[in-house]
Parts: sequence; structure tokens; C-alpha cells
Amino acid sequence: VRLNDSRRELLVAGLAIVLIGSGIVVGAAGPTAVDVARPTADRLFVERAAFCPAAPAETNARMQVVAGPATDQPLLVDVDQDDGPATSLERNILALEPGGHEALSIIGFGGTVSAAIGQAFLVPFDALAAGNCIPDAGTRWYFPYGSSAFGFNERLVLYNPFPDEAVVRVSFLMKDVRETKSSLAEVPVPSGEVVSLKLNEYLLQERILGVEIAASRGRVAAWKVLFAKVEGLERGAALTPGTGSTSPEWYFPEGLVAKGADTRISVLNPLDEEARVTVSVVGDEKVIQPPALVDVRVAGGTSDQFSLREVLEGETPGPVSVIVRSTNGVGVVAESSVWYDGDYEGFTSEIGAPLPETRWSLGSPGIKLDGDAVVLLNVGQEPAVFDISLRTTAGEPIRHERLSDLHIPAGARLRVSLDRFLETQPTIAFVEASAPVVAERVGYSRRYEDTATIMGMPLGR
Amino acid sequence: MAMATGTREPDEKTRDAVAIPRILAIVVTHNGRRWLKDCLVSLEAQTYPSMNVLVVDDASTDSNAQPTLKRIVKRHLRRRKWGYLRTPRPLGYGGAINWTLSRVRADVDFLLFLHDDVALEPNAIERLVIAMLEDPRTAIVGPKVVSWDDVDRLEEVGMAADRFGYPYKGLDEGEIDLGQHDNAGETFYVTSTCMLVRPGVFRRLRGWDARLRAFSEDLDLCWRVRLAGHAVRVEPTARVRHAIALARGERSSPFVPARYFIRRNRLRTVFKNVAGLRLLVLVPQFVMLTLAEMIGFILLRQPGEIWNLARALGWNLLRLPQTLAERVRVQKIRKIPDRVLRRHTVRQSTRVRAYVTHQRDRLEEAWGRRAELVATRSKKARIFTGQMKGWLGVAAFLAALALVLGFRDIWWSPQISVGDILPFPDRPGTLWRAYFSPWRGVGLGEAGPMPPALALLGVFPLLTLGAAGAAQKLLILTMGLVAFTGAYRLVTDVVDRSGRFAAGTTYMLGAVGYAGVRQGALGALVFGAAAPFALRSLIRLVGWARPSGWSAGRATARMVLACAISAAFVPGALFLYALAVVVLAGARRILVRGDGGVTAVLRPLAAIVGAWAILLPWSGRWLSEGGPLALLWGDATSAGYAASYRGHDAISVILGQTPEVPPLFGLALPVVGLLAVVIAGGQRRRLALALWTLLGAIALVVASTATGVMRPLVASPTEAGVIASLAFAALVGLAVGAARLDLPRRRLPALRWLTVATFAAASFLALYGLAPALFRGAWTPGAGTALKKDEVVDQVRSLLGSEVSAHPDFRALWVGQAWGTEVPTSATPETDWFLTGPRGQSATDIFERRSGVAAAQFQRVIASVEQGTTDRGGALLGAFNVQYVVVAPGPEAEPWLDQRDLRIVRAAGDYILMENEGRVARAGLYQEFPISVRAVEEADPAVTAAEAELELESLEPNGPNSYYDEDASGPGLVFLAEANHPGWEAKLGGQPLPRVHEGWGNAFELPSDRRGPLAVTFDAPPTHVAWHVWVAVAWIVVVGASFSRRRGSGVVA
Repeated sequence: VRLNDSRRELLVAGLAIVLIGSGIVVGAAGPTAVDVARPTADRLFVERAAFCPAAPAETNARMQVVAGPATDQPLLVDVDQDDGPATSLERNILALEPGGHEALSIIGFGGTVSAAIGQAFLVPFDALAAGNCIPDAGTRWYFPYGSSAFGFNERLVLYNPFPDEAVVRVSFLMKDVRETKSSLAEVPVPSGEVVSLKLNEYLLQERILGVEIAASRGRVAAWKVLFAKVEGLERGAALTPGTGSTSPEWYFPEGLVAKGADTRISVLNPLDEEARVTVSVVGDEKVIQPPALVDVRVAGGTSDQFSLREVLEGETPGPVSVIVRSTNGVGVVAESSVWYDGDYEGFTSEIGAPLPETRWSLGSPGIKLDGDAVVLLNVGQEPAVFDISLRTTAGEPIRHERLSDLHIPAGARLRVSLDRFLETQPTIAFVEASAPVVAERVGYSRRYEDTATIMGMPLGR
Repeated sequence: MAMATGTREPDEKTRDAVAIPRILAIVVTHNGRRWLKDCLVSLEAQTYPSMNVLVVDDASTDSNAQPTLKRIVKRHLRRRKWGYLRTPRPLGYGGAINWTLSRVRADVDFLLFLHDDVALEPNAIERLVIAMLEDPRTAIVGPKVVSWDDVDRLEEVGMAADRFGYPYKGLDEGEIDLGQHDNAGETFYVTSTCMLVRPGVFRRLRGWDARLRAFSEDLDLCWRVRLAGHAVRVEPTARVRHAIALARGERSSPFVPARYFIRRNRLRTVFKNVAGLRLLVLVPQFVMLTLAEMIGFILLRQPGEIWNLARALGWNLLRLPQTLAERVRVQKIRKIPDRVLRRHTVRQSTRVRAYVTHQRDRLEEAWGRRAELVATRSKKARIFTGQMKGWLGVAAFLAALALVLGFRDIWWSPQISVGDILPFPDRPGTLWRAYFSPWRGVGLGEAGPMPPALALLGVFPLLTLGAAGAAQKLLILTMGLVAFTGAYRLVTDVVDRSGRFAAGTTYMLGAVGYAGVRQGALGALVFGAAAPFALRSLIRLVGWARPSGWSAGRATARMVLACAISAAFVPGALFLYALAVVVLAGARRILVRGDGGVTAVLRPLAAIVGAWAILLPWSGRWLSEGGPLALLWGDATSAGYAASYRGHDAISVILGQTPEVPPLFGLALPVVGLLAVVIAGGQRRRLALALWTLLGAIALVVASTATGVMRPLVASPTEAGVIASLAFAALVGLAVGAARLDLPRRRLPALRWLTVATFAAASFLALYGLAPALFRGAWTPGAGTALKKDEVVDQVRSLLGSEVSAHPDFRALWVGQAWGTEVPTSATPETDWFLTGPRGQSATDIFERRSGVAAAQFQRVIASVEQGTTDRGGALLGAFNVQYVVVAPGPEAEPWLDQRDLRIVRAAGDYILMENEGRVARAGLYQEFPISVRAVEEADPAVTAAEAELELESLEPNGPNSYYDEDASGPGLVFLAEANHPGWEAKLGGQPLPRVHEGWGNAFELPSDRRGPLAVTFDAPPTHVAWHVWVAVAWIVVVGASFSRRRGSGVVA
């Protein structure tokens, strides 16, 4: 085809337009580039430790640590402070009774280890406490509930499992103010050692005493041990592992509001922004929303405390679960402290679970128990079916028909007694549910006349 | 072949001579009619009686001219028995003699070999024979050689040579013969001008080395004679005149150029004759000397000589097997060691003096020419300065001011460490050392070939005498200025100075520099700087512009060079160049009737292939595991690169937004680009249309890449947009040029108004886009990204550097997007971690390959930590000799802070530095296999639970890629924390230790009964030097051809 110059130029211009148009069409009609998943290695190295606290200084306690695999995979467990060989766990668990004043690092090889510790105190008084061993040491820890008022003896237990010294600042978040004592501004925690702080020595007669621990150097694991001997309420002790994160929601399956018993909810707001918090109570029969606990303002850098018995104004729903929600999205930390009086006696305190999960591990809630139960709260919109299995130090896990195919309606709580298995303790209870729930385990010892609770450890990892 | 003999009976004098040795004189002639007569006459006049003469015509091209050579011989050898032979083709001096002796029965006592341009004094042969008979060891005797035209001027009295076979006369230029050198005695060699040889020795040595053809064959023969235990003597009382016709170019010869034959024959001679151990030292030195000489020839502006030297090396390389076989034969007859011969060789300093003296005239001539050139250019510069007065000067001043303002954060900041613009090493030669090293210590270690980018970058620290910060600033400034110059010259052939200036400024302040600096995309900057030169050559080769004096060869060489420099940093650039070739050639083919044949496409495509070839052997591994193209196209990695194209498509390219640029500035480009099409005429309009077609093609490529329709050709839209950005700059230049050159001829007032309005709008957009960016100093590395500032990186590097004295050889792991690249580049793939040495990341780390077992295992450790399955990453990282971990505070740091065997050294607001105390040494001696390595190998950290690491001692670094321990004893195990490679060897007391492991690292068993000095070294593969020679030769040839002043087809073409 013979073309003159103009037509040739038109042809090239057309070609340019076609190319540009093709690009536009490809861009519009072609597949959209998606986020690229980072390639993961096929076989990962699996080795993690769980850190278990020592008893606070100037106390005398018998300790029991239970540790087991968090999955169905076999696990090799080693105790860092122990010279003995590592123990292979298939579906059984490991129970130890270490000395009282040494923290432990329980190391799981080949799988995640789930560990909890029970402490039976003889000094300062007979009391029972239990708590989870902490899987992740960190730089920041919160404890919403605390008190230096008369009758309370609050200790912080700081453990530094890392090779470098840690230095932490302990701040108090009270009703209206955040305060850091100069003597607690730089608390050294040497590598591999435990430091125990008696908070009553630093601040007197503060009824509401939230605590924030911030490491300016290094990392620690932190627990709180609170001995309560308050007039008008049962005495007891509580071991509470700290949490390093805030959340807009906190769930507490276990609670009691009854004559002589009370559940106190403490909310700590470590952030600068004010939080608005609503506390809901889930009874066995109904959900109660105390009007006084709707949109409660918790200023930034403060903490607050609410007694359910007081806000319910004489209403005694008995066993309850509690849900704490931040309605303006500002993350808070919440803790529930329960004084028992009735079948169970004593005192316990736990930081809640921030998320529901389908799988939970619940360590043994104390030593020489006379009562043992798992309490579940279904916070979802659909009923859940769940099984509980008990892993023991020997043999196959206990699966009982009374622990299988249990139903829990949406928004309800359910208490499952494990009393018939008390002889086999120590145990780790595993809850597997069809829908996300929150699980807590509660134990009672007549010998110590005290109750201990352990918040479930989610097994999502 | 022709043969004839004289028929005259021997006379009485001859009969009397029977008792004395018989001689056969062989005169080799090649186009030497001019001198042959004198030669024959001098032979005829010899006082020595018993001599026959055989003239061998080495296929002279003038042999049939009247009178014929045979007739000349006959005429002038009436008193001698003579013969005449003609070789079927030119065989060279030695080859012709060998050929002759294979056909003639030479039952004589001595052979006399003669050039045809030699005339002997009457008693010369007699004196030579006497000298020969005096010492039975003597196998060769040569005469004193004087000038053909002036017998008082000496040419040679025996020859010496240096260790590389370079001849040394020991005479001054034009030295008068006063008998000062008349001491008969042994010499290293005598030239083939005239030499008396014992036939027995000659035959035993298998004659001349016929492959040498011309030059240095005499050195080779004498050297062999000496090795066989015989002597070579010079007899000064025997005098001959020599015209030196061949070396002086006074006769035509098939063996030209002389320098090529001289160099190649010397290398072969050395290779054959030098003793084994000495050869190992000499050959690399010879090669290096040749390379130095090549550089010298660049200074002398003699690219042809460079080509000759390159050919010489190549010839020897190709014939290496044959030379080796020859060497075996030579060494078999060796009776004396080299040290005996050293008495007759000259020292290197003497040789250098002689060389410099010899080259003095050439140097003076070259520098004289250079001075003239400088003077010419100074004149041009004055003219240019004069022309820069007026608006162009103001514009230039504003552009320079903009450069200073916009880039102010570069000029006054610590070394940049963003993307692949990385700090230069502290020592000026480190990058070059890294390039030439067979083992690369970056990452987990890798064997060569090294990326040529290292050598190219290595120029800058040398220029700043090791000032690393200044080198980096110089690099960026150079890229900017080169980009300006390139774009300026790109449109030189089609527009006036204003248009060129507009193109240069638009390109320099445009997208490539803006996005490249902000993203730390050094590859894009280099590609951007080289692209205008490649496109200029391409435009010429395709036929768009061919100014007078244009040379296809030179343009091809320049395109090879520009493409190679681009591809050294952005390998995929070659595909974009190929796309440009196809589009511009295709558009030319359509637009210009009958133009743009196959050659127009093939020549630039060949240049692209040539660019790939001169990047060998590195470019040969682009597609192998971990290679830059393998990463771009790999199933697991290509999507990561494609993701970086998000937000870029065909529209963004056409609107000037790809690469990233101040948006309004980008919009000004298509506006002006369209104006170019509208107002330009003729060639300018056609070129503008072709450039728009090229823009369309790039737009299609970017859109296809962004949507995953095709795999990325280059790593990022910044790299992909280089050609587009350049096309826009050229369009701006064309528009300005057209406004000044075409518009006045077009009598359309509306068009003028349109032009004014469009330029006004575009200027407004450009200024409104650029001004805020200039005010902000937007040309800041890392600006607009979450990458850590250079000050922070510098601080961490200082901290790591301070640990070097305590722990000299450790690795540091940098984790998190804050340190690496927000946008991947060809040189630094998308990654959230990288390994460095004690000095942190540096320019030596670019193009690190993560491949093989080591990389997989290390990646597994990283993933284990980041996914929270382990809190003892320190022990696992320790297996890889990682002593420090640098993390940026934030969620990404959490899993690293969980690691209970990593000690926090410093936690600042911008970084956390953690120390790992449980690392294995870079090279260490252990009782048994390091436990942490075993844990890594078995993917089972439990093995570390029961045992502790038992390291006996660390080996001391002993130079590059070498570790040493004075006294090591077994039993034990040597473990080297470098990627497994058979090139690593451990030797105890010189005896190699067995390798016992094939996973990560290199392990060698130390037997229990052994003790001695332990050395761990990496042995370069045999091809290492050869490849470097190839690269050096190839680059020198291409550079030489690119800047050759000769007109013609050029060397490469």
C-alpha cells in the first residue's frame, strides 16, 4: 500500500494511540495485583519458654508448676534452671514442685508449652493463689487492681530471663492521677534474677492502685501477688500475671455477687485519651446492665474500681460473668477481683481475656484442691458446643462423657465442675469449643480456706 | 612451488674448502626485492668459501614482476651454488625456513639464516664460523648489526630480554659504533636478522616455532637453545647491515599489525619457556602489564593498539592447549634452570626506563595533540560562555540553584543509606577489591562472578581519595550532570541550543532523579544517566539522525557502553532498550519510505547483546537462582515486584506520573509533548510521533506488569519509567526546538497563540509543581517513606563499628522495613532483613544473592522468630556468625524483643540494638561440630538443650578470604561460617583436610594425630583470572572504540 507522508504519520500516531489504549484496557480489565504473602519457611524452629514466677520475698509458699503441650503434637520440655534432661511429653503433662524463691523458664521444644503455677502460702498467712506462666516477657506491664489500704499486702514479682539487665519504672495509676515514686523510677532487675517489690512501702492507704511497669532498659515478666485480709470480707491471696497490652474489651467468666461476696472490676487506662467504659454483668439467668456502669469515664493515666455488689444495689445474682467494653474504642486494661463467701471462700483476682477463642488451656488452679471447675462465657451470637479434656502427668488425657458435647447458649455462662477428677490432679484442662468462648478455671482448697482462679490461655498460636 | 639450482661446477677455491665446515645460507624474502640484491651480492662476496645459498620466497606478492626473483638470484649468485624455492602462502620467517628444510636435504655443518634486508661485510660469515668453532657449547652465533644507511650507527650487539620477553638492546637510540660493545661473548639471544646455527641442535629443537609467523621467533629459538644447555653468542667482529624493513613498515606484510604479533608471540614464548613455578607468577603479571598498557593507549588515544593487545591475549587464550603441548616438549629438553639464564636478562627498572624512552616521542605527540584539543575546547568554552549570556544564562543559573536547593539534604547529610544508595566503604579500593575477589563476604557469602557495578561504583571513592561521604555526593551529582548532558545531547541533532537545554533541564529535574533519590534507587539513577546516551546512539543507528562525521561503529560501541552501564545496575534495562529499538526502528520504517532496513534493527540489537556480553560472566548468572532476573520472574518473588507497581498504569505513564514526580510537573510533560507533535515539522514531527509510540509501548509494559499480565522486566516503576521520562524530556526539547525553528515557517497565527498558551500553561504547571518540592528539599533520600533517616543508620553503624576491635569478624542482622527498601530495586530485592558486616550496609552489598541451602536455612530462622515459634533466635542466628541484631521499635520488633538470648545493647527512639553472645566464630576450631549449626541443620533447636558450644579458638583473619592459626592440633573440627563452597580449603601443615559437611558452612575434620599451622583459604577457580581479563579487554576495547577519534566503521562494528 502506497501512503503519502501525512498518512504515514497518521498511521504512527494511530499506533501510539493503540498502544496507550491497550495499556489502559489492560490496566482496567487485568487482574488486580494483590498483597503478596511473604514466603514462609516450610519447617520452622519451634522453641519457646514460659516464665513462671517465684514466690515474693518474705513469704513462704509451696509451689506447683504444671506444663504441657498446647497442641496434640509431642513436646520436649526442659526447665532452664534444672540440670536434668529434657522430658518428652506426648499427651501427658509435667508437674514440678520447685523451690519457692526461684523463677523458672519452662522451655518447650517442638511445640508451644502451656504452663501454670499454683502457690500455697503459709506466710504471711495461709492462702492459695494460681496464675499462668507468662509466654512473652516484655517492656510494659499493667495491673489494674491493687490497693495499699489497710488489710492489703501487694507485691510485684519481676523476673528477668534475658541476658541483659533490665531497669523498670513502676508508676501508680490512681483514681485521679498517675504517680511515680522516685525510688521506683529506676528499679534494676539483674539478668536471670527475680525482684520482689512491696508496694505498701511506697504508697500508703491508696484504695485504688493500678500499676504500670515500663522497662526503660531490657525486658521483664511481671506478676502481682496480692494478699487481702480485709475486714468484712474473706481473706486470701491472688497471683495475677500482668498484661502488656490494652484492649477495648475484656471478658471475665468467673465472678460472684452474693451476700458476703463481691466482685470488683478495676479498669486502668494507661493511654492519654479518656476512655469510656461500660461494664455488663452476665448472671446465670439474665444479663444485668448496672446503670451506674454505663459509659463510665476513666481519664487517661488513671484507674478506677467498681464494686458490683454496690452498683447492683442489693441485687445478688450469685455467680456472674462480667464484660468490660470501652465504648469509645480507647484501649484499657481490666481486672476482676472476687471475694468468695459460701461454698468457696477466699479471694482471687485475674486480668480478663481480651478475645474469645475456640481453644483454651487451663492450668491447675492451686494445690490440694477440694473444688475445681471450669467456667465458660459465650460472648458470641451463636451457641457453642464444647469438650473438656484433662491432661494428667501419666497416660492419655481424661475424656468423660460429662465433659463432652456440652452446650452453652449465646451470651450465657456455664460452670462445669471437675470435682470428680480431683484425685487425679494436677491436671491441665483443655477446652475445645465450636464457637469462640472465654474460659476460666477456679479451684478451692479447704486446707487454705481460699479460692484461686486461672484465666484460660488461648491456644490460637 | 618452484625450485631451481645452479649447474656450475665447483671451482678450485671451493674444492679447497672441503675440509672446512659447510654452510647452507637460507635467505627468506618477502616483498623484499628492494634489498635482496644487496643481500645476495654480500653473500656472493663472502670470503668464506664453503657456502651454498638457498633463497626462499615466502609467497611474495611481487615475485613475478620483472625481473623475477629467481632471475635476480641467478644473476647475483654466479659464484655460489644456489637454489630458489617459493612457499605456497606466507608462512613467516621461521615457518618458511621450516618448510624449506622439510623439502631440502641440508647435509651441512652449519645453517645460516638471513633476512632479505641484510647485507654482510665480506668476512662476516668467516668470523661467525670461527666464533662457533671456538666453543662446542655454542649453538647459535649472531653478528653485530648496524644501520643499513649508516654503518656507524649500531642497531644491536646481542640482545637481552626482561622476564616478560621484552627485548632490550642495551644501546642508545642511534648510538655510534666506536667499538664500545665489541666484547664477544654470550648473550641471551640474537635476532633472526642473521644467525649461524648448528643444524643438529636446530633439528633436535624442532626448528622454528612456525606458529609465531613474525616477530619474537628468534627469542623463542634462542631461549630453547639455552634451555637445552647450549650457548648463544654474539660476534661483534662480524658486521652486517640491516634495513629493519618489516618493523619500520617499509614493506608490505601479511603479518600486521606488528604490535599484535609482537605481543602475542612474546606471551606464547614466555608461556613455553619459563619454568613452571615462575610462570605462575609471570603470566598474571604479563596480563596485568598488558592491561596497564591498554590504559596507556587510551591516554595516547590509540584505540587500535588496544585492540591489538586484546587480540594478542585472545589468540593465546584460544591456543592454550596447543601452547601447553609445546611447552611440555620444551620443558622435556630443559637442562638448565631459569636462575642460570637470569644473568642474561635485564632488571625490570632497566626495562621500564627503556620503555619510557622508547615511548617518549609517542607520549609527547599524544599530549601535544591533547594540548591542542584542550585549547580548541577552551575556545569553544569561551564561545559557549558568551552565548550563555541572556535568558539561557538566567535559566541555567535557576536550574543550578534548583539543584542546590532541592538536593540540599543530600549535600549536607551523613552518608545516605536508603535502598541501594548505600554508604561507600572507608577505603578507596575496597569496591574494586570486592570486584576482583573470587569470594564475596556479603550476606552469608557467595562465590563470584561479582557484579560489575562494584567496579563502576569503585571509581568514585578513588576520585575523592577515599572520602566516602564525598564519593557518594559526587556519585549523585555526577548522575544528575550526566543525565542533563545526555538529554541535552540526545536532541542535539534535531533542535537548537534552547531545545537541548530544555530537554536536559526537564530530564535532570524530572521523575527519574526525583523518585530515584527519594526511593534510594541507585540503579534507576545510573540507568537514567546512561539511557540518553544509549538512546542517542540508537536514534543514529536507526536512522533518525545521522550528522556528518557520524560513524556506525562508534555509535554501536557507545550504545554497547551505555547499555552495559545501565544493565550493570538494572539488568532488565536491556529489555527496555530492545523495546525502544523495535519501536523506534518500526516507526522509522513506517514514517520514512524505504528507510530502516534490517541493519537498522540488527545493529542496535547487536549492541544490546554486546552489552550483555561485556558484563559476562556476571550477566551469565542473571537467570540462575538468586540472580536479578530470576528474582524478577520467579514464581515466589515476581508478585512482590509487581506489587511495587501498584498505583502505576498506562495513564500514569502518559500523564508523566511514572516514575513518581511532583504531580503538576508531571502533567506539564504530556502537554508540551503533544504540542511538539502539533507544531513540529518534518523530521522533528516524525521523531515526536516515534517518541509518543515509545511512550505507548512503555505504558503498555507498565500496565501489564502492574496487573500481573506479564512478569516485571525491571524491579520498580521508577526503573520502568526511565525511558518514558527520557522520551518526555526529548519531546519537551523537540517542542522548544520546533517553536523556534518550525513555527516561524508555519503561517498560522492561531498556532502561535496555541504554542504560547501551551508553554505558559506548562510552565505554570511545572513551576507550581516544582517550587514547593524545591522549597521542601524533596530530593531527600527516604523522603515520603517510612525508612529510617540517614542519621539513625549512621549512628547504628558507628555503634557496630566500635565493636570491631573487640570482635573483628561478625555479621549484623538488620530487621524491618525501616532499614531496607520501601520500593525494591534490581540491586536490592524487596526484603525485611539483610545481613551486613561490622560496618553496616555498604555499597559492596548490592546484588547480594540469596540462594542455596544457607539462605533457606537462614530464612527459616528469621521466619521462626518473626512468627513467634522460637524465643531463642540468638542461638540459631549465632550459627550464622550473627552477633548483632538491629530492629526498629514497633510491632515488628516485638518478636525480636521476645528472644531471651539476645541482649539489648542500646534502645533508642529509632532503633534497638541487640547483641547475641552465642555465635560461632567466622572461622573457628571446635572439639566437635558446632551445636547451634547442628540445630540449624536438623531444624531442631532441642539439640542445643543438652550441650554447650565448645569452641577451642577462633582463627585469625589473614588477608581476604583467608584465616590462619599458627599451631592447631587435632582432634577437632574447623568450621567456617561462610556459605558452603568447594573452593574453600583447609590445610594443616600444607596438607588438605577432608571436608565433612555439605549444609550451611564449611567444615573440615582435624585428625587426632595431626598438628601444625592451619590455613583456611578460598581458592579462585581457574577461570577467575581469565574472566577478569575478558572483562577488562572487552571494556577497554568498547571504551576505546566509543571514544576513538578515527572515522570509519570503528572497531566493534
